[in-house]
Amino acid sequence: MINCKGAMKNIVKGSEALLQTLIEEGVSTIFGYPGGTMIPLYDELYNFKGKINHILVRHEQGAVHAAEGYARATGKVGVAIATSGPGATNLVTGIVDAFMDSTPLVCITAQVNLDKLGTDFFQEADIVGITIPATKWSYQITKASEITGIVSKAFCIASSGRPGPVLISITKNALVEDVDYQYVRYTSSRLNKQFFKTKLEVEISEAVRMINNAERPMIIAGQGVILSGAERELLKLAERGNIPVVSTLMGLSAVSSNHPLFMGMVGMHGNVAPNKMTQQSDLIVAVGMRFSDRVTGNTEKYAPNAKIIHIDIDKAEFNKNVKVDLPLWGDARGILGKIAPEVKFNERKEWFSFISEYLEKERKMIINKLMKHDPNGMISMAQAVDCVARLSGGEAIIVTDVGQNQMFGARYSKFNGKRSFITSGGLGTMGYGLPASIGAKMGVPDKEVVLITGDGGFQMSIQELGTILQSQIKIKILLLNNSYLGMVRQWQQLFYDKRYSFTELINPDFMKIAQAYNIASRKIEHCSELEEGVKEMLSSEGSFLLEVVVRREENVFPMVPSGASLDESIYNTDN
Amino acid sequence: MKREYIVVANVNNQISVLNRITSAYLKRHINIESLNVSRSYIKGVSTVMISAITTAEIIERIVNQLGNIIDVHSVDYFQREDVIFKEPAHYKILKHNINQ
Repeated sequence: MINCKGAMKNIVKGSEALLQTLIEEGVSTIFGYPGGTMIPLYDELYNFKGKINHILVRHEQGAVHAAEGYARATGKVGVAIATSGPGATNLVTGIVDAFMDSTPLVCITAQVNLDKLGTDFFQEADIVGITIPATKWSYQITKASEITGIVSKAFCIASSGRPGPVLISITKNALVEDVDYQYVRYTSSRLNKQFFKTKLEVEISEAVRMINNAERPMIIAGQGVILSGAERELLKLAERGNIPVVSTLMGLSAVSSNHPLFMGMVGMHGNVAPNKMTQQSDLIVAVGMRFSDRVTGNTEKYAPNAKIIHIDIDKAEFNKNVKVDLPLWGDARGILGKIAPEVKFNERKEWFSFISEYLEKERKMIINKLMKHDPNGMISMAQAVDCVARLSGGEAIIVTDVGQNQMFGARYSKFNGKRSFITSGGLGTMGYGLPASIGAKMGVPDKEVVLITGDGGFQMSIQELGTILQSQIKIKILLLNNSYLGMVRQWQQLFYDKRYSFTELINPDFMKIAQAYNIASRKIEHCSELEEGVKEMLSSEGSFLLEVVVRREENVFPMVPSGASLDESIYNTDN
Repeated sequence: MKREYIVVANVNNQISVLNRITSAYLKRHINIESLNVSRSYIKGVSTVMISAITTAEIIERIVNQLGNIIDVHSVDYFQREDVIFKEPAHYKILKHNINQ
């Protein structure tokens, strides 16, 4: 039979059209959880075994964080599916997380039949309405004929410009209706949307002039560098101009930790030198970052001596948190590629000597003390993370949860490869780590994936150990157990007179839990066992849980207290 | 300084676009003083006019964020004195009054 466009008719159910479209969009792995309204899609999925790898999670929040981890590790769009009502609402935290961290996702949720919409039907929730503030785009499909076009458009929107999450809600009738399936890829030119400026010649000349005239310039690499694939261009700019590079939390791994021009991380728990540099610099080249409060500290006192060039693909980020002198709207790779060849080398002896002084200060005041062997055998979180970094040679993909484990993970890990640090930056979602590491491992199975987590966050998504068991996912879990919600406890200690209100945790026996899920495990309580334990974890064939019992009341230092300027770091509990 | 700003956006005539626009105000805890949606001269495109009291800085950020919405074609903001209001009025006039 021929359809109105002259093509052979290809009559399929809506659910098959959806899965075929996913395949056309390059999807090979999806993370999901079935439910009543979603049964038609899962019924069709039964026929797609071998074409689409569906990872059955244990909670929809696990699906969406896994999709985030997959997207962050691969650069592709992550896909999470859930049923209507509670299935859909369980995705919300991950959607907001992805929105804050510019992670490309397509979340597909089922919805009750079109004729039942708005009747408070069983498992009906207005998921489009609920997610409007935290999605780049959303659409409710109510007939099968819309599926292919809308799903393809969703992928295009999620991945173009500044990436982000898109939500597609599909009424059950659309999944079961017949449709003439004809796939046509949706391209960004059809969006009628300018994501960035293409002609920037004047601004680029001005940027080059500012960089060449600067005496104390610095580059801040945000996640936009990674999203744009601009790592090489950024390094070229840094090397040609002899400009030191620092990174935001989300920008870690854009530049190799071993590069001589890489000086560390800025921000609340950033390294001393990058924060001091920010306050002394006469020119900041900020690439793909949004001047988050965790990066700037008090914005009134931020970078008092610096002109700021801000390169970003999202025009709305310019002057949002910090006034900038030269906004460059566009794709970071393209812009850096034009600036770098024009930049002149400058020795900057004084500037580098200033930086070295503070690198050395941090080594003496903080790092060396943490790495020192404790006579009682107590383990610092920094030692555990450092041990993983040394023994993995900086080649592992590091996924963290949120809190002290995240900050120690960021500060003491080493990164050789790009896309090798995955964390929840903007939203700070505890429970993110375990499912995100599952997603990352599914995305890059040949890479070692190490999750650094704490006893609090681990238990927020501990059910995903079942996903590891069922899908035989080989991740290494470094569980830093201090039996506290460590970061909140740190704030209570420093700013609330040590009133530890509900931050102490009575934990289960994690070894028994690992055993129940058939995951190899080991518990370490003395620093003399640390190296051996990490070696055992990294050399194990399958998944491994290494529980490291760490100092109970260790703090992450240096720390810029909330609302203080980057100059006002505290280094210990005394100040 | 806070004052009235009028945002004018040309948007796709689609479900949920209005919610996306108003959510940008809600997020910043800004009350919408008046709101009007009407058909534009382009088929499928509507014009949304929103008046709210806020600062120039905030309204600029809101407009930038609205510009990111996929279904928003164009958006700008104005002060009340920059806008010419057309308010059509219909009067019913008795025939004998016209003849007089």
